Amino acid sequence: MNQDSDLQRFQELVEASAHRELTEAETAFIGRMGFQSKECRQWLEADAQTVTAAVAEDPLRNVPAPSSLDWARLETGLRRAGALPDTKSRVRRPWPMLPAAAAIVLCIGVVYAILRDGLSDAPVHSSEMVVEILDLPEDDGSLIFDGGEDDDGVLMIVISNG
Amino acid sequence: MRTSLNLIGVLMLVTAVANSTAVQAQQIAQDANSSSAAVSLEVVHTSASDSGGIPDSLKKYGKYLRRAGSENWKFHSRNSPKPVPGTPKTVNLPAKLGKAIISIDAKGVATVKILDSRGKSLGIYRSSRFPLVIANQRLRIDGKPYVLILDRLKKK
Repeated sequence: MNQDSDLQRFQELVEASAHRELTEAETAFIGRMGFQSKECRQWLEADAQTVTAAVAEDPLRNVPAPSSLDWARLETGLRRAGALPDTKSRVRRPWPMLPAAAAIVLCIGVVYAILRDGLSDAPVHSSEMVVEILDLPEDDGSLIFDGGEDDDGVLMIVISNG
Repeated sequence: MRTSLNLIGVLMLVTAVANSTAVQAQQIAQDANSSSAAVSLEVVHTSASDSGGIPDSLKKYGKYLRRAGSENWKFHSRNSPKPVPGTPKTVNLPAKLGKAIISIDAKGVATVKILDSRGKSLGIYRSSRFPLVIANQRLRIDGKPYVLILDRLKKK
């Protein structure tokens, strides 16, 4: 293989390395030619200088900054594509704080109710029944008769043995 | 979705505030009732007799009186004390048997303490149910059993 064809292949492989992964044989060829071929080294150095100069030139610097109209068009496009929320949707308000406030109020109410009424589910003051006889003289006995479901009354009989 | 959550939040908040306000108002009303309103009670004095059955004035207590040991009863007198919760009322028993100290608490539980003519306690009777019919064998009028009936006057 002559020097021209080696240089050409060397150049092709260097260019190709920017787009794909080289095989071991190709990589070995580049390495071998880099040591053996002066032309290849010179070309590589010249290419590197060209690339460095191109980078230093910064072609993006010549691109004008987007105007507000450009940004508006971009937003419109993104919004139509669904990447941005619709402008017709309402502006977020501090309303999400309201459920949290309600939950706190309810929690306070529940704690207050538990402290006041306890954990029993029985109605307070509604079903408490008191029927008792206290402080009887010694040797006295007592009988208590419930009126039953039809009557709320109660009969208390105290029997004296004294 | 967010609107619904906000609406639910508003409803919960309003409900909680309204509930707490109502509970406080109810509590205040209950406290006011229990602390200041007098309870209308009726004390009926009766004793067993040899005949005559049960008079009309005692008909509503007939079931209890018969259970107390006699088919015949005599009406003696009636008192209408209005004890305020925390302030007992004293009622004299007929035939100088003694006296009854009647009180009622905020929960509507009546307490009757009966003292004999010498001031000795013949028992303390507590009941949340009415009529409360008390038959103590130590209390007799002309040898016949005496019965004290404590009833709550129904509101008209």
